[in-house]
Amino acid sequence: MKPLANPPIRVALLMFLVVSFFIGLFLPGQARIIQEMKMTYQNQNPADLVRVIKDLQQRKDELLTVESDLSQKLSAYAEAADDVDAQILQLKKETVSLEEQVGGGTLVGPGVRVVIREESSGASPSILADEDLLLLVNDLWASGAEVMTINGIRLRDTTALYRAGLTVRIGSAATHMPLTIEAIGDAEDMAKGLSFPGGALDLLNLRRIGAIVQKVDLLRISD
Amino acid sequence: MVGIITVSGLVLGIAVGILRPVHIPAVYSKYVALALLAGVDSILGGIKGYLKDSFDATVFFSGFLINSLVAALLGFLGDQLGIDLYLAAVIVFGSRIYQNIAIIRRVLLKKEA
Repeated sequence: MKPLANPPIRVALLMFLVVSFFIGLFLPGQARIIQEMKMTYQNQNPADLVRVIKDLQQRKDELLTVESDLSQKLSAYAEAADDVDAQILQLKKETVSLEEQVGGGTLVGPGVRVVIREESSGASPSILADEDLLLLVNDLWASGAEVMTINGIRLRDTTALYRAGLTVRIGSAATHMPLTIEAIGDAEDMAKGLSFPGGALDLLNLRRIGAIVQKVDLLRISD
Repeated sequence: MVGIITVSGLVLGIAVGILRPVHIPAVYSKYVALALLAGVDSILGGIKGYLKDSFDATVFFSGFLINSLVAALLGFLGDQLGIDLYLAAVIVFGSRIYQNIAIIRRVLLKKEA
């Protein structure tokens, strides 16, 4: 029997459907990987990288200054070891400095506001984990945040952050999603620090947790 | 009809690809892109053949498979040799895509007239 030169129309259409389906199937994956590749260091804007390096150098200089101050303080303690009045004076100075650090009053200044929302709909809802929140907060501290609040609760050097079911525990206080983090400091540096490849925002995106970073000209953080 | 089927297949594939993403390792993304380009060329060639009543299923399907494979292999070989061989595939498939689109357009315009 002689085969037909052309297949039946249904077979031809089925072939078009199958081939175009496979092309379509790979397109989103390919588009995603290209987007991810654009986020790597090699594809970053050199001007941004220079700015980040400069910021890090500035941060290093600041840390060297802190180290120098601490060395001086140590020397002052050593010198005042035998003098009670000098010791009291030194301790008073230290108290004032520590009060400034933990924040005794209301602070105002420019900064960033980060709003984090979990994806509660869909087949697999996204949940913010302890380490996601810690990474975000630590990235903000590292990018120059001076004071920070989460849903209005002030963070201190020793504040513990963790998830307890649907609740987010911030030290002894408790709050719920969505979280609004407000940080006073250099807004440009903090926004850049968060959006750095492999940083907190990348991780949150990977976990399908929405995070909106907004630069704010004047934030007010009270104790 | 063939256009509707092709677009439907493409949309269906994209929808499935979004819902169930196909993981493509970054190192192979260039080769996949070349294979996709070859695939688009095959589809347009197939539509052209279909509209001109010269469609051959064997040629279409083998063309899709072999062209995609050869395009990806060409890219891989170029990387191994340190030559941008993938450009050859991009130029060839790119120009063929334009040609096929032009022919499809002419055929459709003649049918309309």
